[in-house]
Amino acid sequence: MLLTSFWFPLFVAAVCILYYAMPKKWRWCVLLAASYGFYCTFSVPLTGFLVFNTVSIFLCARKMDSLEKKGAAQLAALPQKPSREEKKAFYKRLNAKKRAFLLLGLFCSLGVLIFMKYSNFLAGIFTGEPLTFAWIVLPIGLSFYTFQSVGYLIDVYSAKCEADKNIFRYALFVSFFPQIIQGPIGRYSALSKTLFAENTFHFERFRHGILTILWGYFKKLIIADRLAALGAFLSAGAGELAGMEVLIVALAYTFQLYCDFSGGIDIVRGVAQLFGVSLAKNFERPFFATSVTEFWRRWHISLGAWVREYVFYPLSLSGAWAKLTKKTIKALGKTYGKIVPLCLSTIVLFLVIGIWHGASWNYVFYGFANGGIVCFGLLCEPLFFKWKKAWHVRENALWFRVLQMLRTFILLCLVRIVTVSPTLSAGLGHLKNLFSGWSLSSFSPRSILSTLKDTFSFDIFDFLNLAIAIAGLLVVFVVSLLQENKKSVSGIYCRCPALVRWLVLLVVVSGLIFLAASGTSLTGGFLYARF
Amino acid sequence: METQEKIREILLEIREGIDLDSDRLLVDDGVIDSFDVAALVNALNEEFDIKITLRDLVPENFNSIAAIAALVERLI
Repeated sequence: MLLTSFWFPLFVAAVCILYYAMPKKWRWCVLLAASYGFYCTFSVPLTGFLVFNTVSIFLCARKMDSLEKKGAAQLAALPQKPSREEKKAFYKRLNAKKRAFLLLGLFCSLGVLIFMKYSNFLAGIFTGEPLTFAWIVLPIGLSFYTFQSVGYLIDVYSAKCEADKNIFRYALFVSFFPQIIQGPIGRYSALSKTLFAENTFHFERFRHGILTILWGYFKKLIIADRLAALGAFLSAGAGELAGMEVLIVALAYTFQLYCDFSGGIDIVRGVAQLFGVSLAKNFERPFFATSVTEFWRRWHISLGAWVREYVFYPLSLSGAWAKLTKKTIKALGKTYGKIVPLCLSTIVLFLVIGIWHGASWNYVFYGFANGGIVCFGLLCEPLFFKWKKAWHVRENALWFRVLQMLRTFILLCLVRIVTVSPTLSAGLGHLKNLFSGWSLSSFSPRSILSTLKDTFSFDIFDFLNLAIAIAGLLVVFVVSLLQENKKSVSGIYCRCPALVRWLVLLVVVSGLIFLAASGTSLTGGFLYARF
Repeated sequence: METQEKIREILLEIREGIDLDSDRLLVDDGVIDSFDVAALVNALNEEFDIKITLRDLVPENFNSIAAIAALVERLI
């Protein structure tokens, strides 16, 4: 059942009625039944992977938790207070036992992910030719729920949270139906607070949830799906494009991806709010980022936070890295000697983010490109600081910030051109072609129109679709600008007189139904659901 | 106070020109990012001969110089 299907709102409405009709204590059980029912609509056999993941991680976490508690009790029962060294040795032994269950849990969850998602790619690397296990069907949301459960397992291992004692509660944490398809990747300590709370119906929250859902559908159906036909020229790799043609499809794909993914997340967060559940933020107006580092704090926030927490920090703070830092300081001096090991962990961080997206060389490139840009920034930071001081550039000056935003946007567009192409060589070809075929008249409206007409075979309906998408993007831009200036758009809406509010709601809902019904044939699934 | 002064020095060494006198929270308000946190933790481990673990890596422990100093003093 797609989030954009006719059945989804009916399904959510039915679950809502059941949820609030149930005694408070059992409301989470309705969500569990709904989540498994929802997942089974995609595939009943593939639900087996979800069950396997849930059971294996639950058991490993419980075992680690009981070892930790037994250990703490043993320590407390000692007749004399142990010395620091004795305590250290005790925890070393305890952690070794816990680590065995951590590794077992990781093997069960990441093992399935690696086999299902990466075996063809890995076999291709080792054998020289890509093998195709045709029978492998990727379970929907596998990357999302695997990362979510691995995060839980590591949190229990490092005693950041206690293991849940009830397997059904834990099963809901992994499978919660709005988020299982495309996140956001939740952390147990945060999500469990509202997921298992005895939530009561709250009108303001419910209304906010409905508005968030409508905003998500607006971004998905009105903008993303209308740009999909143009964006597909990049992702499908159709035809030889050059100059302005590459620029048009790259821009279309960039905005399509943003509206598709963030729109989907808005729908997911809005649906969760209807049940009083707060999901993690996944977007914070990423195109206002002034650097690639900041972009990753604004784009797919939950994935960035996951990789930072469970890959970047453990690596950067490990003993091996401390030794490496000492060596690099000796060789390169204090400033750069400290930065180089950080750069290495940064590359690893972005490689994990890249490979999480897909098993192809394009995503390896994606990781290296993002990591490379961030490392370049880290290495050149002392130089940039001196340059800004010498030229009296104020960090907060509007012109400087706009320039930084443009630079970040362009860099990420260039990386995306390569990433979304069907193969790495096709992507690099597109990137090369972007810089050819330009003339002074390329930017004239007439030339752009004829490019759309001749290269992309635009007819009158395509032009109309594009005009609607551009108008929608302008709305998104204005709303983002208001939010960036700390103004709450839903607050402004709620302060309007009731008549105006109902009128706006009526126009938006009927507009959505009409425009979505007359949308392109590409209307449908979300781009991130395939990850 | 001595610990706080040393932490201030380390922070300024990690990020030149950083504003440490405003009321902004270092991590939550984005004054320092994850790269700075990683560099800071390594520098603190070395300077004070302590072991900051992943369990201690929560924003509350790094949001102000006073909070970092409290963490360091707890681990010494």
